[in-house]
Amino acid sequence: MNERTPQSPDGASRNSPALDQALDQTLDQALSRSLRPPTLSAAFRRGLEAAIARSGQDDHARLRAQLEREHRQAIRDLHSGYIRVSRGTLTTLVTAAFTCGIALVAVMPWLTEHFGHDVPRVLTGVGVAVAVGFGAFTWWPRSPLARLFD
Amino acid sequence: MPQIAAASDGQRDQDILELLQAGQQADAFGLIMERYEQKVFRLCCSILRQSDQAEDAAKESLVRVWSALPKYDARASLSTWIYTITRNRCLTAIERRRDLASMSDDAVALEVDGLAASGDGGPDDSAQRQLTALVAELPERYRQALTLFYYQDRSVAEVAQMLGQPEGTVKTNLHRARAMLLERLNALGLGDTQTWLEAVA
Repeated sequence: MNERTPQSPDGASRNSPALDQALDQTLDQALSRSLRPPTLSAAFRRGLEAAIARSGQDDHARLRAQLEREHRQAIRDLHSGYIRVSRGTLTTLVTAAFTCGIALVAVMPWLTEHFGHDVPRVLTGVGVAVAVGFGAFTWWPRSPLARLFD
Repeated sequence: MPQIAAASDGQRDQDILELLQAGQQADAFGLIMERYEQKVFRLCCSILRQSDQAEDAAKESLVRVWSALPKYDARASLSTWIYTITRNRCLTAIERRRDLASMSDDAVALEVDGLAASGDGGPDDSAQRQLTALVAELPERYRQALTLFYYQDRSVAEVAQMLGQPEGTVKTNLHRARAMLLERLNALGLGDTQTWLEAVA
């Protein structure tokens, strides 16, 4: 792989009738004179250094743009998750309110028969008991007391 | 002086690899520029033909080498890696302009005039221009091998490495290029080809 000495392209090919040695050598000299190595312009190195400096800036700009894109995507994901949870909560509340209303209408005659004028107090008491029970159920897993029983 | 450059590229580029391992990318790139700047440009010239486009491609290739240098893993030799990047940039440049593959005769003539304009302007300049025109009209693989062969001090090994081809293929292409040139010279009816070539040489 290290043939660096001047050489003819293919010594074996000299048997070809079209390429006798003298003609081959003359062609070689003529080509050598005609195909001289091109030279770089004086501004090449300066242009290259500028291009390298620009490429560094491009890298930073690309990285920054990528991070900003990822950040925007994360914000979008969080926002859409929040809206989904909000909608779920609202739907649950509305459904629960309607269900309670319907149930109340259904049991009102029975309540009036058994509690008479105390129905509003009974309903308020039941509501408070349900709210406190629900609150305690939600709060308990996060409370420090729960850890004591684990 | 081809003999001076007889050390293999692998050994010669060892210092560059050591600088890279030491994290001195700028110094390593300085040495790369020193050794490969001209070769990269010549390779671009042989593929793209036009020196202004070759300069742009060489610049892009070296910028790419610079930015990819921290990721160079020495699986291929440094020279092979650099030449591969350069050839790919040239292919991208060719794809970008798309007209090289189907260059019209006028464009070839224009390019040949441009190449020949670098001659001495002496009495044998027209013959030299004619020879350069014949070289420019050779099939791509022959033309690239032939031009690089003379750009690189007639080193088949160097040409093979630059073009990413086996040495045998380069030798075959060089032989066919020369045979084709002689055939075309004879077909031009210039009289004695030997005398005509001596005038150019």
